[in-house]
Amino acid sequence: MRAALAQGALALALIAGASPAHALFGDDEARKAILDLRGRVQQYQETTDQRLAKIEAQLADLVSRLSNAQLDNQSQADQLRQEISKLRGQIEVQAHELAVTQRQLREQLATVDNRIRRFEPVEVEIDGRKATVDQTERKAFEAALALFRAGDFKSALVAFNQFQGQYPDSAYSPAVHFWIGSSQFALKDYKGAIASHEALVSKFPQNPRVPDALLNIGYAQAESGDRAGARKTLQSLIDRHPQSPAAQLARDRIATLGR
Amino acid sequence: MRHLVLALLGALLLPFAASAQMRIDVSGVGATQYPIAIARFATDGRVPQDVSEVVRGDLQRSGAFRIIEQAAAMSDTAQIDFVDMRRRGADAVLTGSVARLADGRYDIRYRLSDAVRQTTLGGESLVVAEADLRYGAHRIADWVYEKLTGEKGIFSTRIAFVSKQGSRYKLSIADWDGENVVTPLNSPEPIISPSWSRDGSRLAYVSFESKKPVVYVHTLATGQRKAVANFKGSNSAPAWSPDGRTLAVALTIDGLSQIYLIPSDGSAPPKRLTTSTSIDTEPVFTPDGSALYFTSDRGGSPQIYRMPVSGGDASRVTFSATYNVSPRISPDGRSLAYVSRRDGKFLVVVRDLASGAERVLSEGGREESPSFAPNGRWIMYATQAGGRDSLVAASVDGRVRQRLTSNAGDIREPTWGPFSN
Repeated sequence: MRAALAQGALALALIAGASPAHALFGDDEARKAILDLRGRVQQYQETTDQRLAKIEAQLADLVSRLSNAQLDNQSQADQLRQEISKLRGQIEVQAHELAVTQRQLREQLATVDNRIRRFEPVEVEIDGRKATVDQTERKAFEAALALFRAGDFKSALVAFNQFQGQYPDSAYSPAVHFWIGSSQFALKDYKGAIASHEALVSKFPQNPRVPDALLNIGYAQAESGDRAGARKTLQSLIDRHPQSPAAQLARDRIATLGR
Repeated sequence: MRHLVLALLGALLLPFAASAQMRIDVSGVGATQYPIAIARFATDGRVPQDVSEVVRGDLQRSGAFRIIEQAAAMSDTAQIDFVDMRRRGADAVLTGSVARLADGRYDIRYRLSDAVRQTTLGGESLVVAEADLRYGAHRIADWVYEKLTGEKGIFSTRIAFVSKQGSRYKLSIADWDGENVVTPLNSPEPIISPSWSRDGSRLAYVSFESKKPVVYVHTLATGQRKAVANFKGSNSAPAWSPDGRTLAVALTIDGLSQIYLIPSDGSAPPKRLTTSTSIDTEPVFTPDGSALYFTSDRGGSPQIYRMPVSGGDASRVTFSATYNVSPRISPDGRSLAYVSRRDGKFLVVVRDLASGAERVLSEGGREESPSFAPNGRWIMYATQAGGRDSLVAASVDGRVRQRLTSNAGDIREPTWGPFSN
């Protein structure tokens, strides 16, 4: 617009400047020239206006397209944000469910462990020695021993014999021999008692129960009238295990045998 | 389930009784109710408040006691007929006296006796001004409650709440039973989110009196108040740190609502704590002040999160519904109360934080603003019933529920104050 106006003004200035030099021109001619120039200025203006309108339209179109794009972007961003929130929520829930499941699993495993543990071998101490036994085995032994301690020697003998049949290689074997012998002694089966204790002494010579077994053999021999045998057994006990409490009892017994 | 209605007629006849008449409905009873006879306290007739009646109301409403009627007045020094008390089923007997002193104050003496062993469980005395006779009675109820249950009583604690009467809003403070109302603030614009400082000396709240939400701190003893959060946008949901020096607030200063920390005297600019692209609001400090629980919709639905006060990641706490808001932590820090939408109802739920076990406490379905009693045994919340807002105090074990309604319009936004000293 401004350029067009400047052009028009320049043209007018040229005409004004030219008029004194061409004083020969009549008024009519000058008027014609002015009209002509006006027409040209108007033409310029019209063309310029058209071009301007076109540019404006293009610009408006561009702006509207841009703002549409921005709106799209905005709504996409919103959607994405919502989507992220939803995903985040899902992750939170799943992480929580996983944690809960893990905890439950741990608890269940602990329960199963506890159940299994009841059947697993346990470590026990038998006559001062550590050994691993099955839980049922330990229970059977302890049940038989309880019978002995309660003074029910008959039932104890049955139970220990059963135990020996069921667990022939048990870590309890030396003890079982001992308690079978002791039960037999209590039931006055001196022969049986001697055999059982001798089995212990010969099979497990290093067992800490050996001195007590020998003492019991000596007692059983004495009770069954074998004084010489008794003396021999008790003396060998004293010789082999002089520091044992059984040796002291053996000395006392030998003294009574002598009378 | 027993249902009884108590109209506190005694209190209403008194000159200083609040004009806003409160009514309490109690339903349910405790697991075991301790039978106690409460004698009318002996007086010379010049005492304007039936102290023993207030004690009786407190103990009865707690659900933990069965009150054995005792018509005759019995002073703390009276000889008790234990055989008769036992015959009537009382395990304990409370007796007492109230006497006016020369300076106008009142001397309350009381004694609790064990009717089974026929011995005294102790007795104490209180000297109070006339205006504090009710308070004295609540202290006695606290003492009896603690003697017989081993837990601290909450009868002398106070509650803050907002009531709307016509077009006016009132921020009020009352005894736990809704009596003895005082109104620190009366405004034509809404008041929300009152919050007690732990020492009970100050209330923070949001007031719309300047046509937008602004957080104020109100010192109750002096009546002085100060706008401590008045930033661009919305200022809401104040919560006190245990030491009373910091407030957690929700501000929209940077766009969406986020959690900020500000000094409770408003002396420094807010420090932003959460940085999410979602709405974070309703912060509340843990009792040890190390962490905050708050509500956020960052996971697509409003849920409760926990984060350290020092900043860092927030971890989600609630999972079992798609709408869980308004977290409140118990005084021992072990349980979380919140409002959960389930089957279209808004219910108060209490969650054991260690085990995750939940208990739904309310039944109305339009519940909001849960708040723990300072002994952690009760939760007060607002509910809508019959188109009116009222308050409910429910025992955390879910057995006893009492509803406070007021003839003074709708009451809501309750928050339970701390133990009094």
